[in-house]
Amino acid sequence: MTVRKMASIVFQNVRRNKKHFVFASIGITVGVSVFSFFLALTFGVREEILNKIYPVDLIEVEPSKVNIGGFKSQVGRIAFNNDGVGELQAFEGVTGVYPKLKSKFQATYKLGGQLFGDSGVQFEAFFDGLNDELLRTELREREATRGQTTMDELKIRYGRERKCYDSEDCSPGEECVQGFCKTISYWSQFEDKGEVVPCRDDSVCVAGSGCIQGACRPLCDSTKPDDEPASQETPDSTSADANATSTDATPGTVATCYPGASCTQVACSRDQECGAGGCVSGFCSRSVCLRPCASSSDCPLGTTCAPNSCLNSSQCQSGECIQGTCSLSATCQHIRCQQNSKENEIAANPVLRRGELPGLCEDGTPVPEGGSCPPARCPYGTYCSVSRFFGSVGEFRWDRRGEGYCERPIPAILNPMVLEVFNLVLGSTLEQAQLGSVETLLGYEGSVSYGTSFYKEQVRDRVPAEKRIVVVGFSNKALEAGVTMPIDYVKRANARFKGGEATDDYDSIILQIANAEDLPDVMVKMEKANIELSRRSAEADKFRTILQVAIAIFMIMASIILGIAAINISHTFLMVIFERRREIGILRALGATKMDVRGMFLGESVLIGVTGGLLGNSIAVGMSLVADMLANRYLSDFPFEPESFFFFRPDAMALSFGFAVFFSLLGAFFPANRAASMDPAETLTAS
Amino acid sequence: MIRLADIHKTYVPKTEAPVLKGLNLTINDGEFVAILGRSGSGKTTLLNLIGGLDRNYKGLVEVQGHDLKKMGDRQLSKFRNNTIAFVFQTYNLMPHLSCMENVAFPAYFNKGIPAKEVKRRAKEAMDRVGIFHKAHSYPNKLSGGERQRVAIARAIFQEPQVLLADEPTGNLDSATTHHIMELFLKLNKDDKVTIMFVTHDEELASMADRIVRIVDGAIVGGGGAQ
Repeated sequence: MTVRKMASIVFQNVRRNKKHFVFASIGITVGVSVFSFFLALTFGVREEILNKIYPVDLIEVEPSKVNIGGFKSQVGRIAFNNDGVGELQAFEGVTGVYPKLKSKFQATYKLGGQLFGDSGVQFEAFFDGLNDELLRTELREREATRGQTTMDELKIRYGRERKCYDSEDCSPGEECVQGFCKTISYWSQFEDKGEVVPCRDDSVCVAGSGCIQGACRPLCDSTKPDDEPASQETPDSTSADANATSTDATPGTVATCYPGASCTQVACSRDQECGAGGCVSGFCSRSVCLRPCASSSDCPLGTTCAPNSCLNSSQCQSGECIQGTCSLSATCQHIRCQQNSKENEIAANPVLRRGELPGLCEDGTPVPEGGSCPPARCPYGTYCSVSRFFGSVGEFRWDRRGEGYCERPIPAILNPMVLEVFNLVLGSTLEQAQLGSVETLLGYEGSVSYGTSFYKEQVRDRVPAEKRIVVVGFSNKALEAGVTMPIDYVKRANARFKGGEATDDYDSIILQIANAEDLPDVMVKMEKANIELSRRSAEADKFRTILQVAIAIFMIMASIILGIAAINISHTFLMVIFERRREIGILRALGATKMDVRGMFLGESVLIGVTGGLLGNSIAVGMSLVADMLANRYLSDFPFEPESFFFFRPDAMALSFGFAVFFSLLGAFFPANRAASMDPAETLTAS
Repeated sequence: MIRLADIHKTYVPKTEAPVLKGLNLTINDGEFVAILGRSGSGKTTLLNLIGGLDRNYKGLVEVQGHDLKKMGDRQLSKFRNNTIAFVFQTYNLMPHLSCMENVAFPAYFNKGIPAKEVKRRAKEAMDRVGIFHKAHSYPNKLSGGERQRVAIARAIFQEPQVLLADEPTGNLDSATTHHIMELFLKLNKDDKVTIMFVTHDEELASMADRIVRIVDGAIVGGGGAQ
């Protein structure tokens, strides 16, 4: 019999036996709906909640510690520094290694503005540093889901783009990109923007940098590659040599500097300008990596690259000048600034904005000869990061009250949990409005004061500093009670307040695992290397196990229901076959083979399975919608509350559908065989 | 030709007396044979053996050159579909199908007939038995005679070489019986279909070419081919 004819007979039979069909389908439908519903719930909890709190492919490891007389002592065989990072990278199944560094000094937050009112709030600050690359991808994805870029597309389509000179011309939440205001892509801002660490000796500088002319600067021999011998061009840091100085003054790319920078000897007049190295024959004994600006695009807003204005080398106007190059990293963005001097006056006088009066500088003074105005205020997008104290230690005196460097705010990311903290704790006690979503906090700027504390006395031999942080995103990898910033900021701050010797000793390391299935293997290796999971990762592991058990229980439950349904189908079919046994005889007399008879009943059972599968899955989806609606209405908000608690994975739905058909076939198999092997002569005489 | 040689048949459980005891029978092509006997004498069993519906027997059953014992289920089903047609006392129509659908039903098991041909053959078969006007009625709306005509139309549709009728007129009044017998005679004459019909009505049996009498599972008269 052809499949079409078979299907036709099957449909005819179902049509006239609707009651049996419905009865047989009920069990399967119930089984499948339970199966699909709970499977979707567990997947939903796993994908929508658990994996957001504890990403599957990321585990955080810490060195194993033993408790000896109340002191924890590290016993790990793999050091948690750059060497250890290298070793972990070599582990099979590990695709990324991202060290994590906690702040190791006192700090306080000062938060005000719209969120906390004019009086503001202050509390103890904790923060940690993470690799910015690790987080940027996540932040980008998260920001993409907010669909902000579609606004830009709309503006472009309808010609509503606003032209701008710089970001100051744009509305809040926008920035000036290539002459047009665009929605800020906050994720891209999560990177080290550079900062000035004022110093008087090397102790406050991170490993690989030295104190040159009052600020920590990267030294040429900082990151010596293994495969290269110490560069001959790099002078010996301990013995100053005038001859070496002259050779090193020749610009040239040195392997130990970052790309585009050259190793440069810096002029000095006294030892204090050169940190530990000392000033010999008018030059610092050590060389720093500096990158001259080639064009104005290398310079920050408000400054231009002016050739031949500083010792015959291009420099960023109004930038700091060291031996003919713009100081620090690549962007020449740090300028000395004076807070509360002319700034307020100028800001109050619209005529003086942005140095638009020809011949006058921003502060209203005539432009000095040589064309360089002294900086009056920090360019848009930067703030004046000041060191707040003045005083003296021995013969060294400093007076930096109100004086600092223009810096971009430190990009920080928050854990979405802060929403809950804000709404529950701060919101109620400070009588603030509740925040709808964490995204409201994007772009929020607050202050953090390094070196001050409510719990502990201030660090005596260190200069407290004021910094600003800006919220640029949210991640579950961020510290729950604090902020997370690019790791270089934490390294610098730790060095600044606790000394630069151990800036590369990490607290924990986040490992990216290629496949979640590799996790057990990696864990075994970790155990052998005396590395253990962090509290969070261990929790995640526990939760996953619980979920797996839950899935197993639901699977068993659903299988039992489906099994009962199969028995029900079997029973129904036996009844149907008994009722139709005469008909089976007629079919056989008219030429139906055993196979045809078997096929007819199995076909009916498949139809029952398909109906049960479709109906069951639909009911499960329906129930999930109702459950979500009820949850929305009656459950109070909580962190990571998903839009839906259910995740209907196509493969899981296909599986439940397959189960429905399988159990129907199973139920019908025995009766169908029985029908096929009936003696036609006997069935024909049946009454 | 239909040939039965030394047929023994016992229904399980075996304690029961055998139904057929060494039965021998030969029927030529195109013959119109009446099988006469009392209830329980083995008439229906004999038809079932020839129709390949019952294969639990000893001896040889050969129909149109096929030894039925040697055929597999598939072959035998094809044989029942192409070579043999049954007409039952209780009509055995599918209650959920219209007359037309009932007539064409055997086509479900025959891959060879195109859909158009099925329709044509069904129409023609119904026409021949004079029931075409009821093509779209359902069996429960028909009288006994009409139902039997549908059953005969279904047999005609199969274009069989052998038609086996088990008391086809047992439930019918004499007028209808007359019509049905006429249909059989016509079929035998026009289409040269070998017809075997079971009856215990002597008068009806007398219309056949040959009367085979069965008493207690054995042929007592008319067993040999004429």
